[in-house]
Amino acid sequence: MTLKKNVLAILIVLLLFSIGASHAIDLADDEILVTTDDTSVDIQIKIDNAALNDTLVFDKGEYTLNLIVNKSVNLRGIETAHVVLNGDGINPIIEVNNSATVTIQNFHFKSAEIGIEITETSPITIKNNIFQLGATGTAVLIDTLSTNAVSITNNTFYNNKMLIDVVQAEQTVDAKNNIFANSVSAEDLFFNVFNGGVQFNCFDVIVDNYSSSFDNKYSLAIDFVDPENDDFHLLDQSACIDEGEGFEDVDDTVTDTGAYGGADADQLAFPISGVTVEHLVAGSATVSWEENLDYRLNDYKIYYSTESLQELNDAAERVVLKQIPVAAGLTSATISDLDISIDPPDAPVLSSVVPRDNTLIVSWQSVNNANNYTLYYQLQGGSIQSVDNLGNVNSYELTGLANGSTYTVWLTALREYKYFVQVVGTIENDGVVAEGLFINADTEFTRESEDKESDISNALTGIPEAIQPYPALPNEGCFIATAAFGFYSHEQVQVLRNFRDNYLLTNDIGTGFVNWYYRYGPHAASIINENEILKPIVRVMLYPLIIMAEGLAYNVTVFYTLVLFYLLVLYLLIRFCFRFFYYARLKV
Amino acid sequence: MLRVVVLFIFLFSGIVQADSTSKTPEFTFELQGGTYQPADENWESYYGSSSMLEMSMSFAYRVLSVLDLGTSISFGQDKGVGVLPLSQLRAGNVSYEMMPIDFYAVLRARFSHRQWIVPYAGGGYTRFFYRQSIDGEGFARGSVNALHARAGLQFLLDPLEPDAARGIYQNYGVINSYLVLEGKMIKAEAGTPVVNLGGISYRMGFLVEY
Repeated sequence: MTLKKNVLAILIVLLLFSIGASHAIDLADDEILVTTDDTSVDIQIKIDNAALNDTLVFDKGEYTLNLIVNKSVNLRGIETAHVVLNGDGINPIIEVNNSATVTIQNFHFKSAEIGIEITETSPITIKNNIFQLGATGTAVLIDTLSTNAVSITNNTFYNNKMLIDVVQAEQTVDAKNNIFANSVSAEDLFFNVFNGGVQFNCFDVIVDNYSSSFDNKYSLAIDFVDPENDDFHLLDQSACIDEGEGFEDVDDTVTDTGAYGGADADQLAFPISGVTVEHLVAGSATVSWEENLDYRLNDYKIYYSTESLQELNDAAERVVLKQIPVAAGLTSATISDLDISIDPPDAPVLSSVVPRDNTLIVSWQSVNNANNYTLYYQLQGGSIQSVDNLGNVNSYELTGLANGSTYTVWLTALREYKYFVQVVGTIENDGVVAEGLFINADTEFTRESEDKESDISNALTGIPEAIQPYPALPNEGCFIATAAFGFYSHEQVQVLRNFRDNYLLTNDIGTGFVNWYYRYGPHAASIINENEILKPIVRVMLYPLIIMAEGLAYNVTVFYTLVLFYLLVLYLLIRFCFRFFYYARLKV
Repeated sequence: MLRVVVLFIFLFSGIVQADSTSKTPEFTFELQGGTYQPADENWESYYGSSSMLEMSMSFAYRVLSVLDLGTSISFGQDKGVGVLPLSQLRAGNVSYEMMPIDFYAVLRARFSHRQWIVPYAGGGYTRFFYRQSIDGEGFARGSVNALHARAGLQFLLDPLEPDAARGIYQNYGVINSYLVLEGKMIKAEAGTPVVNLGGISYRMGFLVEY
């Protein structure tokens, strides 16, 4: 027994480990993963515990941070556009002090008064980031008397108040290959003092109050793809393409300026979006999408398959799939060779029908190649009813049935005519076409008229009934209804009991009514029990409430309002009756 | 046999110096835990075990040195299956909860405040509250009048750590503390046909006098 438990425990641990591993990001030995589950304090602890020159790799997501980096560790986002850093409203997002060597790259800084503040630092590199801090934000604040080199390379500064603010005059700051755009005011200027080189930057205004500069471009049309939606890739006509220093771009041309240029830029583009599929005739469909304006896009390819393409991440895995090339600039194409010759699935086998209160739980064995089921049921002597589109499941709770009645149940399996489509953008580098940068999510399309239905399964019968707890104890709830209808498990009593549990006990007013009812209900129930003539009268009074309670399944707002109104009327009526009989007794 | 009698006389008479103080306690407070065995013979077939865990808390006033009047509240819970009346099949998940509230008088064979072992016995009235929940199908609840009897032994703990006992008295006013072993029998019936809700509890607890 102990051995079995140990084996089971090991298997569970391995399973959990494998689940964790399947979602893990590939990390080097000197890299530490940071996720959105980590708070700012958690991340600070990781920084404090990191070895020298370790790199904290931030997973995609939005973070609210105030980090203090006081030793040689690096911070890197997994994807520039989708690792968003916000401030805590008081402090800088990242403070670097007393550091040796620090690199901060591939982040999108947002919503803070100061993005990065540097004090008493050794060489620090800030590259391939987007700074978008708003009307009062300063992107990089350098406040130290120490003589250190700060390298600010291939960043995009967009919509900030102050871009690079050097408080002390003695610093050496190299700013290269950056884009400075859409600043709040050109008069506020970008720099106080620069002793280093300010070169190969791309400005949308004229700036001249820094010391050492050359090869910068001024008053340019920057032309981002979609800055309103955080896409700071460059359009084809952008004047900042190939204007940086170096030849390390993804397309092997002169380096672009901005966050997506240079050797360390992440190459992930915004995916193809807005993919839709319109079925034309059997075997043919038209795929449409929104144009992706990233200038690096070479052309499109449409992949399609009967299996999901979600997990395919590179061209090598897609090579076996059917594809259609589409030239850049086009946004739709027609697929005309879809295979519609599918066979129907095998007939399913019903395994059990388990009765519950007004319910039958129907289970069956899954059928290969089936991806949907239709359940049929028939009350003895009644008409056949069905529940469609159950999905790819192997059990279903058939509700709304009458307790004590015999139902016959069977089902059929369906195989849907289903295709999956992916639109991929390609990029050409020195004559070699690469793809995978612009992948859209899996788009599934089906055509129900082409579904193939199996033969019917075996049929089983079941009688819905409420479970009785053991021992069968009297319930002091629903006193009046129980007294009026005769016994606790009566179907109508159950309707009222469900109404109490699901609609009254879930709010204060309803709970107040239930408490009032439990206080006076037993007295009323005892009176009803002693007077047979009262039972049909009370039943008549309760039937509207039962009907309204059942109507909640169809329209909650209308029937809930009706129920509350009716309860109020009943309450006033009962109070009136009590007072009437009370005073009548006094007179006697 | 003679040795056993001498030993009991020795223990009950409190010859051994065991007290932290000679002040007379007025109140007792007790926490207990143990098992409750329902008298219903079919209980095990529905709930998988013939007993359930039970917790209890008691508070009593010492009217006389040998008589306590008190009240206690207990809580027990068991989980099992229900039954489908038509097919008589076992089905669903059922939770049974009970909460007896006792009002009792207890006579204690306590002749000295230094007595190591104090036997006691008593009984009283019980209001037996119950609640049955069925997953997805609501609940039933109610309460019935009942009677109960209880008896047990209280073992004085102060002699084990006299200094600590003295400190607890000085800091918290606890005059004596006891380890308690108790048996309790409840006679409770509900419904028509009659369902026997009674049973026997076996408990161990910790009692303080102050």
